[in-house]
Amino acid sequence: MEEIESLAKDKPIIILTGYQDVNFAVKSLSLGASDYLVKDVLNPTVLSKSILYNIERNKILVNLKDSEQRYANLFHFSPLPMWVFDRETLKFMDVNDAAVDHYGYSFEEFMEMDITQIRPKEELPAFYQSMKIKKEPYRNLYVGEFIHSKKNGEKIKVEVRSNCFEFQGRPAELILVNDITERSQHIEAIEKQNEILREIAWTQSHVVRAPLARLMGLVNAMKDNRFKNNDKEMFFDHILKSADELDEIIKSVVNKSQEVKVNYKEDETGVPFNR
Amino acid sequence: MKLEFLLIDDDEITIMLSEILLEDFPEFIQIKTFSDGLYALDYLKNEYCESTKYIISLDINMPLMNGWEFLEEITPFVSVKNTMVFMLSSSTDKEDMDRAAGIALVKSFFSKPLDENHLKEITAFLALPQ
Repeated sequence: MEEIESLAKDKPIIILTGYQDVNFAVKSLSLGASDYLVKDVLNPTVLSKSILYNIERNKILVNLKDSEQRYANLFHFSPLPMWVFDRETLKFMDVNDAAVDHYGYSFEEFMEMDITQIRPKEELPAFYQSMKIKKEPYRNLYVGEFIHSKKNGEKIKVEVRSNCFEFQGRPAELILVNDITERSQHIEAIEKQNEILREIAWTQSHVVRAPLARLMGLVNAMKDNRFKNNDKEMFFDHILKSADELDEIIKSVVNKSQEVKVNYKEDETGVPFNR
Repeated sequence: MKLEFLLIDDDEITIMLSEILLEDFPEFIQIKTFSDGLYALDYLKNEYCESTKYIISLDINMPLMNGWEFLEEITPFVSVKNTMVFMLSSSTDKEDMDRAAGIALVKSFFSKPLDENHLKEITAFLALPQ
């Protein structure tokens, strides 16, 4: 029977049998045969009806199998980690390959775990809070950003989407995870740089311009005929002092700009994410 | 009406240059200088009177009390009828200018150094009917 089935692949198999073999025939149905006919009552009408019936029935079965397979593939071969968990026991019910790759637990390990085990302890209060939100079934829902931990202890920042549905007769939730650790590191680095750039802009406007404005005012006053030479002597001193001050300020601005570069380098080497 | 010109700036050269420029404007005889917003606030708290006109040239960055804090402090007790503030800052930051534009006491925003045109603008404000 097994051999025939492997030859027939998706084609329906009809067993022909004698009376004494009825038990065997019934058993073969469970092994994958589509139908059985008893030789003694075989006639052209019965045979053709059985053949037609089984071809049609088989088409439906093949379609159903295909569609199941398609949906299972969408889940299992999704490039993003996904899993299904039981909303009451919190146990994992199914986990896709990307989740296995990403978190480092094998499928079997996942099946023994509940979803609190991929969260660092300090994250659990936020997690229970998020579980309190009543979720309507079949509604794609953005749940938020959380910290998860991999098997090796590494913490990752993830963006989670979920959808509630019934799976194997249980109230379940489908989870889709997007690891944004790297993205948030980049954003953090960029925000830090923006902060420094803002500081530099503020310095340009307030600190750099102060001695410059003074210089401009002093030079204007130098043109004024009302001043005597010893006044002008004093102006000269002030002009020099302002120029020195300006020089110092520009040096410190240059140092600040170098800080931006240093931050950039740090980012390139990849500092581990730490919240 | 008595008129007082208050110069508030922690930079003594700015004060000195402003005073030199003010010499050309006979209407500004009464000049008082303060090296910090805090000192000018003390002065106004004690001496402010409604029958005097106050022209205030105000710097933004000062060590004890900056220009914004100074404005906040005087707003409750001075009147826009006899007090006009002109910001005089080395800042060319649009944020500062916008902020100044939102304060009723502030008539204009000048970027340092102070020059004749700034003072002409102040006298033009003085000529306006109150």
